[in-house]
Amino acid sequence: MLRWFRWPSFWLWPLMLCLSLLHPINWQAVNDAYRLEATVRGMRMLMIIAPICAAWAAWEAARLRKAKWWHSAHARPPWAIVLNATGPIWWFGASCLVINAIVQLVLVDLAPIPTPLVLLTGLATLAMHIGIGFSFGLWLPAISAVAGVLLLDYLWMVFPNSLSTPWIRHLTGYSIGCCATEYTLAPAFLQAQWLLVVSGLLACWLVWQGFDAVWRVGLALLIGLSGIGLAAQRVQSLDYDPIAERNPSALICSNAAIQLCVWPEHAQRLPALQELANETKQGWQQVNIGFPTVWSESPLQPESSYFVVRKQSSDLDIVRNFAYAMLPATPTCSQQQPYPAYAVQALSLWWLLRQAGVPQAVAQSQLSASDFQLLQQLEQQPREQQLAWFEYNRQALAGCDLAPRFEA
Amino acid sequence: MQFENLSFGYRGKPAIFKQFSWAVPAGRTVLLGPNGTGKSTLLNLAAGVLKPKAGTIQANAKRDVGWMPQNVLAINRLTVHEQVAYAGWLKGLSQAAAWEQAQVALAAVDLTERADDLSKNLSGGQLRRVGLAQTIIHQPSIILLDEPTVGLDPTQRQRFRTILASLPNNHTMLVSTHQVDDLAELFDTVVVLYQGQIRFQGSIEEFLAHAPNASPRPAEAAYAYFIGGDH
Repeated sequence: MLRWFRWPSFWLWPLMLCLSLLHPINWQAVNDAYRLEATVRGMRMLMIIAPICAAWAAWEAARLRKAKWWHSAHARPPWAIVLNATGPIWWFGASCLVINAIVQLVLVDLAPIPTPLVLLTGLATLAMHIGIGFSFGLWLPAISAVAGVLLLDYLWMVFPNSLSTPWIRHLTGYSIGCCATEYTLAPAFLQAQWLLVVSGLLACWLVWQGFDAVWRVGLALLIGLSGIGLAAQRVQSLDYDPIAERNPSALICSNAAIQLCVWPEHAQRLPALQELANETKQGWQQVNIGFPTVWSESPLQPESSYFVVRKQSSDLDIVRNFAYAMLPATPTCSQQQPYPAYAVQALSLWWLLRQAGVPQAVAQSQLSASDFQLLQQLEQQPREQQLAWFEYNRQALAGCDLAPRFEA
Repeated sequence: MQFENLSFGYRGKPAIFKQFSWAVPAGRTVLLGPNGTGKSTLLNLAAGVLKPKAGTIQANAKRDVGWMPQNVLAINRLTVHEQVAYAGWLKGLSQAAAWEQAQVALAAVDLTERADDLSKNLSGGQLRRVGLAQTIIHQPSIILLDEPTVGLDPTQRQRFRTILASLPNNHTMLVSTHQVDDLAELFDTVVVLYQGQIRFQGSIEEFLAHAPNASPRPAEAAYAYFIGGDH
């Protein structure tokens, strides 16, 4: 109800806006134009904004508490008073988050529309931080509340990310590794955020009813801790990045003899990729190596070979991806015992690349001198012998028992 | 407003009220009693700030009660106008109505000129008038004033009483005080509360009738009659 310019938060708003505008500038636009990734990157602003907003909310509560207005008898319910006192803070914080997300999207040439669920989760998380800050302000004197909330909240947002326990970082809502185009945010991560938000706000709501009843404070603590426990349980199985494989139904596939299926973010490159695939196929056909007919950017798509495209991928990177797909994946036995065939992995890969038409000079620049010498010797052998060499090493690479062959 | 079989005591302390029943008379009532006898507690209970351990308080809705605490405090960084308007909003007025009514309430307590000053810059007497404006902004049917003149100098107390007398007499007003000289002619009823019980209730004339003849301070003498050595 108070005039907006009367809120101290208003005067700090320009500073927060500057932060939200400057924050993305440090980042180089090398990633794909993936809306989810840009939005998540925008939400990282929570790390800075949430503690500031929570501290302001603590100050608002503390001034009501100091003037003994909070515990007075009002016709308005506590939640309405909190909403009134913290509404502007939330708007200021939310505007910074949204602006940051928009800047991130614009930097990768996307329309400035953040992913709704991620944005909503970020805004709800901001509300939870403000609610908790307000609750501390009702409990502690202004200076202690503001300083304590600012420090503790900032530590909560930053410190877990420095720990080696992966799941702890996913409780802060500050995801640092989402996502390359083949991934999406893990549903468990978002569920955990909402569990924290709901339990946190419910605990705050109980506290706002008054500190006079021990059972109420105890119940609020119980709800808050249960929320953290349930959220931790949800994210426990996640690795350092809270990601899951993207649904392959989003893939866009070409209609050619060699079918390439790419994520929508790479659809514009499809004709060029198709051409590369055709050239590679022709090269490999000459040494009797079959080229798979279906290629996909999703490892979940059945009966397809997996390849990866990035915004900064060169033609060589794409062909290298095709070649990698022709080699067996590193076997699990390599974690327990020696994997001798690893020594010919690079050589095998570059032999494939050379057959696909990659110039010798490129191979020379990227291979070790000894490997390049071996490659040259190999290429002087009859094609049948080269193929036999490759097939043998391909077999060796699939396990840990066969010794590799360096010469044809 | 009516208290029925009310019981209340602060945690770890003896009960102040036990089975206390009382109907607040209509009009303006002054509640007299020494410090610690339960006047502020009774007003806090009436305002809904405290909750009784037993018994009931029959009163109108919270928005029909205006309560001024003993210590009126300024909200940091709010102007007088904003503080009074905020009180109105808390009592259920819309934002626009609260903003408008704050002007009316400030005029009633003669603080229009200080409306744009920060409330923390006001003197104690002015802050008390801000408290009165906060209390009446939503035109409550019950006004509860807890020791409104305590700590004020005689001039400020007289001014506060004048303002109180100028308010329209169309509501129930209960004013607690332990200062007998607050007993001005503006009250219809005098109530003496002592040790959690009503010792006297009647008109000013009936109250003063208990003072010995030719007493130089009849109000104090009558008060002493009811509470004896505690005065």
